[in-house]
Amino acid sequence: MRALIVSHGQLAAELLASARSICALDAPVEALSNEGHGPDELRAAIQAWIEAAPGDALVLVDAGGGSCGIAARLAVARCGRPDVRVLGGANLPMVLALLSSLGELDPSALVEKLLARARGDVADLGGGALT
Amino acid sequence: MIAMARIDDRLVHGQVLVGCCGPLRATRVLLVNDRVAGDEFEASCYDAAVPPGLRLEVLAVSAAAARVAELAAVPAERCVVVVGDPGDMLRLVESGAPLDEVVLGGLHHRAGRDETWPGVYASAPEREQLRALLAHGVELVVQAVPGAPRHAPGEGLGGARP
Repeated sequence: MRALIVSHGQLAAELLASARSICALDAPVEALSNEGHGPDELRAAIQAWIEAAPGDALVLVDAGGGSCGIAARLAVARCGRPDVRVLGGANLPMVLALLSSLGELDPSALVEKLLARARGDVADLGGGALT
Repeated sequence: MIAMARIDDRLVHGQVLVGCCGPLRATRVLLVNDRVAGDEFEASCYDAAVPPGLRLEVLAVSAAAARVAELAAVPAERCVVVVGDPGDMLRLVESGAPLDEVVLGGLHHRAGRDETWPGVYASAPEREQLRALLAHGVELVVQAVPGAPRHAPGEGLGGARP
């Protein structure tokens, strides 16, 4: 199983680099920026990545409702690949979980874990003056 | 009212929904695009991106001019009209859409386009279409989002408007 992270600017590349520096795990994950790509070109680039190999794959995007999310959803639809899932809201906890679990879990379990990890870190961590 | 008429080849995305609709207090987004209007799945992708409190309509170019005129006459509606390229915007204006100003918000690099303004790319036919918009009396502004610097087309379109 492999994965692609798609984002605005260099977020995808930096998320991946940061996650790799934290856990030192190598996994078949690539990063793609929307920079320099119009919507059709971005969709085509994602589609080319999907079609490069058969089998289960994940596409993580920074914001589901943004240009990356829409391009990814359209690319998957155009490929007609039900074995490719798109997850929005990519953040560092999600990418760390991806690196540690890609190839270890079946696709459904992996998706569940990534979403749980991504959401689980969205929290009020408190703060305020020490007493 | 029409709060903004925008050319953006990414159509409805974060820069439009957050960067434009927020400051403009938009109530509605009119996505004018023949392909999206004819593709239920693609239209649903854009619809899923729209936050609560904002309504999305998707129309083909041929049907949009009348709808723009209707919405322009409703003060309570603050509508952002989004079109994907200068050609469609010209068709919209030529069909009678009452647009005084068009914002060139996003045209990205692709084969055949040159960087005409900083970060904004257009092909020779597209620059011709933009000149035609000016000839229709439409004010053309190059601006990423409200609050960002505004630029007149200026040298990118060969200087003063006809």
